[in-house]
Amino acid sequence: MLELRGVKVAYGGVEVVHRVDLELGSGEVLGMIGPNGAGKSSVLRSICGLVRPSSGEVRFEGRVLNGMAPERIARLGIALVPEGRHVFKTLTVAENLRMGEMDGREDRAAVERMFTRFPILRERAGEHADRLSGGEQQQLAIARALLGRPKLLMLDEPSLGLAPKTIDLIYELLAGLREEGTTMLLVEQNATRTIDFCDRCLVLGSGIVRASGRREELRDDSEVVHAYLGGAR
Amino acid sequence: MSAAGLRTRRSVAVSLLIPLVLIAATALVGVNGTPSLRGTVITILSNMVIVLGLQVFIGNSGVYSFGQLGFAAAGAYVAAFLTLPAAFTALQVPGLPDLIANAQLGPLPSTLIAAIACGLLAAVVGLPLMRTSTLAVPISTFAFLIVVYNVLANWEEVTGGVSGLVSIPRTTSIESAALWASVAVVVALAFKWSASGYRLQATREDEVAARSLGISVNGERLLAFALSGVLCGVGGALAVHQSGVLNPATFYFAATVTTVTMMVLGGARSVFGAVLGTVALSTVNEILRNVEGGASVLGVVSIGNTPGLAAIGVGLILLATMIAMPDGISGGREAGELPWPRRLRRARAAALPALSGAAPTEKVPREGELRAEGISVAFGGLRVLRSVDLTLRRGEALGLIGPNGAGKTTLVNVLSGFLVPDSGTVSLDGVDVSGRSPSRLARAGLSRTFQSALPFPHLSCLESVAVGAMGVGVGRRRAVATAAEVLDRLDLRQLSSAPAGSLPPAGQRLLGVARALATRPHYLLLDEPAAGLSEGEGEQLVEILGGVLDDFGCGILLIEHEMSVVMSLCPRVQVIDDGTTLRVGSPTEVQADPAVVEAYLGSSYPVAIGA
Repeated sequence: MLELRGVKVAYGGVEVVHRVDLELGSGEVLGMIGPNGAGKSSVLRSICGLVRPSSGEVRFEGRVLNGMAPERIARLGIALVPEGRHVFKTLTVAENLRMGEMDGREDRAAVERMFTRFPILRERAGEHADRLSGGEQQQLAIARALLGRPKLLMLDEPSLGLAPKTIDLIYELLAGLREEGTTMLLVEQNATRTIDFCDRCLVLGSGIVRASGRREELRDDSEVVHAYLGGAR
Repeated sequence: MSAAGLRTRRSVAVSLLIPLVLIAATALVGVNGTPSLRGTVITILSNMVIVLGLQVFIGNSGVYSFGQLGFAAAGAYVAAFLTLPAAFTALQVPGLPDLIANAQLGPLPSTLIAAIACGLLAAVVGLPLMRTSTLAVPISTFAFLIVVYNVLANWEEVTGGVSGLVSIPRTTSIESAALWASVAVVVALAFKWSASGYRLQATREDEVAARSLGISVNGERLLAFALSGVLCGVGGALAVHQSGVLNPATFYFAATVTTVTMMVLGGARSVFGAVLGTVALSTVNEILRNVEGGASVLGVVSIGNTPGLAAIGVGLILLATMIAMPDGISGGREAGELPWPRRLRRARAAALPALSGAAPTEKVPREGELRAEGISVAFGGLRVLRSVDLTLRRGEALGLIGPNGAGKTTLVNVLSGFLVPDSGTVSLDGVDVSGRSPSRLARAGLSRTFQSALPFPHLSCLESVAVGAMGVGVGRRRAVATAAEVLDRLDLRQLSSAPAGSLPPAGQRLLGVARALATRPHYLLLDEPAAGLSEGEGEQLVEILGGVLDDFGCGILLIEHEMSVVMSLCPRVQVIDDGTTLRVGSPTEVQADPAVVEAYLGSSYPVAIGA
C-alpha cells in the first residue's frame, strides 16, 4: 500500500533523513521508534507532503506522492494525527468533527459512529475544543482523522503529554481500530509499548533505519532495544 | 564593537563592512554622475536612513508600524524651520515662534535637533501606543500618521498648509548622506546586538516566553520606537535638504509603502537587508521610471509611453519576493551570517568563542519557599482549581501529577503570574506577590517553562539562553557566560550556534529549561520537560535536573506524566485531580494510594513505566 524507497529529507541544506526504505501492506500496523532527532516525524511529514523528499520516492497504492500538495495526498486517503494534536481550538467538538469530513457533506451517521467509538466526545460535543483535556483532545484528533475515511492512519506520538491511565485508554481505542483492520503507521517514544502494539517496527537512528523486524524478533533483540533506550541525542 | 561571545569578530566585521561598502558604492555612482543622478543617490541614502529606522523597530520587535514616516515628516519640518532664511520664514510661515523662525542653523545642528525632537516625539507617542496589543499597533500607528498629515496640512500659520514650504537650503551632499547612512547602520547593528536589542527580539520570537524571562514587552518596544523615531527624523532632515521643498504629502502613504517595501524586500530582521532592500528597490524603480517615459530595450524592442509602470513593477517585485523569499533577499540574516564560501564558514564555526564554563555558579540561599494558599480558578462556569495549596521549598524537587485537565498547568500559570486567580494568595519567600506580572516575578527569582516549548526560532541556542539572563537585567557579556555554562550543564553545548527553531520539539523543551535556568531562578517551574523524550533521554534528564538541584540550589516544581522521571527525582509528590489536591506524599505512598491509581495511574501502571 505504502512504499518508501531511499527517501532523504533535508531542511535548509541539513539532511536529517539519510535513507529510509519502508513498506506497509494493507491492514498492517507499523511502528517507528528511535531517539529524538532520529527523523521519525520527518519521515511522516515526507509521506503526507508537508516536506518534499530531497531524493527517493514515496508511493501510495502505486502512485508517486513526491511533490504533491498535502491536501491532495489527504484526499488520496492518508490521514495524519499530528504531534500535539492540533485540534481547532475555537471550534466546538462537533464542528471539529465536521471539518474532518473530507467531501464536505454532512454525514450524521458517520459522526454518530464516532460518538459511539469515543463516548466522551458525545458528552462534550458542544464545547470548544480548547476546553478539552489532553486525552480528550487526542481522541478528537483521531476521530477527526477517521471521519475522512482514510486508507492509512498515521499517528505522531499519540501518547505525548498524557497521563498513564489516559494512554491506556488511547491504546485501547487504537487496538480496536487495529482489530478492524485499519492500516496504521505509528510513531512513538515508548519503545516497549510500541513494539508490543505493532505488527512490525522500524528503529530509526540519525536518519537511517538501524533495525527492523516483527514484534517477536525485536523483543528478543535486546541489543537493538538497548541501543535505542540508551540512545541519547 | 566586541563580539561579546555571541558571534565571532569576523562575523561582526563582515556584518558591519558589507553594508558600509554597499553605501560607499552607491555614493560613488552618484559622485561622478549628472546632477539628476546625484539627487537620486542622495534620495536613496536618505531613504536608507529611514528604512534603517523602520528596521530598528519593526525588524527587532516583529510589530508593524505604519506611522514611522510621521517622524520623518516631523524631522523634515523641524530641520526646514531651523534652516530657512528668516525672510522666507516670515513669508511662508508667519505663525512660527520667533525663536525658531530666527534660527538659521547649518545642516548638522539642524539635523541633530530634528533627530532629538523626533526621538522625544516618538517616546511620547509611543507611551500609549506601545501599550496596545501587537495587532493594534499597526492600526494605531497608522492613525498617528494620518493625524500628523492633517496637522501639517491644516495648521497653515505654522506649517504652510498643503502648499508646504519652498526655498529650503539644499545642503545635503552625497558625502554627508553617505556618512549619516553609515552612522545609521552602526546604530542599528549596535542596538540589535545589545542586551536591549536581544530582549526585544525575544518578544518578537515569542511574547509569552519573553515575559516569563522577566522581559517587559512594552518597555523594550518603547525604547526601540524612540530610537526608530530618531533615525526617521534624521532621514527626513536629509531628504528635505536635498529637495529644497516640502509639503505634508512628502512623507505620507506613498513614502510609507515604499520604505516598508524596501525593508521587507531586503529582509526585515536584518540591518543588511534594510540597506540591500533600499538600494535594490530604488535601482529597479529608477530603471522602470526611465522606461515609463518611453525607451528601447537593447535597441530592438521599443516601449512606448507607459505611465504607472514603475508602481506596477514595484508591486510585482514585492509579490514575487514574498512568494519566493518570504524572509527577504537577505533571508533575515546579517552579512556575517550568510553562507559565504566554505572557507569563511568553517572559520566561523571553529572560531566560535571559547567560553569557559567557569562563570560563577552562585548558589541560591536555601531558605525560603514559594507558597500558594487557597487558589481557586474558574473559566466561565468551569471550576478548574478549588482551593488548592502548594508549598515549594528551595533546594527541593516537588512532583505535580494528575490526570489531563486536572488543573496542573493552570496552577503553574497562577504561580508564575500569567493568570490571576479568583481567590487565594501566592507568596515568594514570605512576600505576597499575588497579581504581579510574569516579568516582575521572573526578576524576583521565579522562572518557568512551557509544555509547547515556545522557542525563539530565529535566535541561536546560545542567544536564546543568553536572553534568559538579559531578561532579568544581566549585561550582555555576563549573560553569554551564564548561557554557555548552562548549556554545558545541560549537555547542549554542541548546539550553541544552531537556530533554536531547528531543534526537534523535545530538544526545544530542554532548551526552554536552559533558558529558564539562565535567569538564575530561586524557583523553577517545569511543565512536562520529558514529554517526547525517549526512555534513555528521560534518565539523562533526571540526572541533569538532579545536578541542577545540587548546583543551583533552586526549588523545582515538576509537572510530568513520565512516572519514572517524577518518581526518581522528587522525594515529595502532590497529586491533583479535578481541581483539588488528592494526595501529597512520598513516591511510594502516592503510588500505593488506590485513589491515585484509580484517578491517574491506571491499573496497568507498573507495566506502563516499563522495566
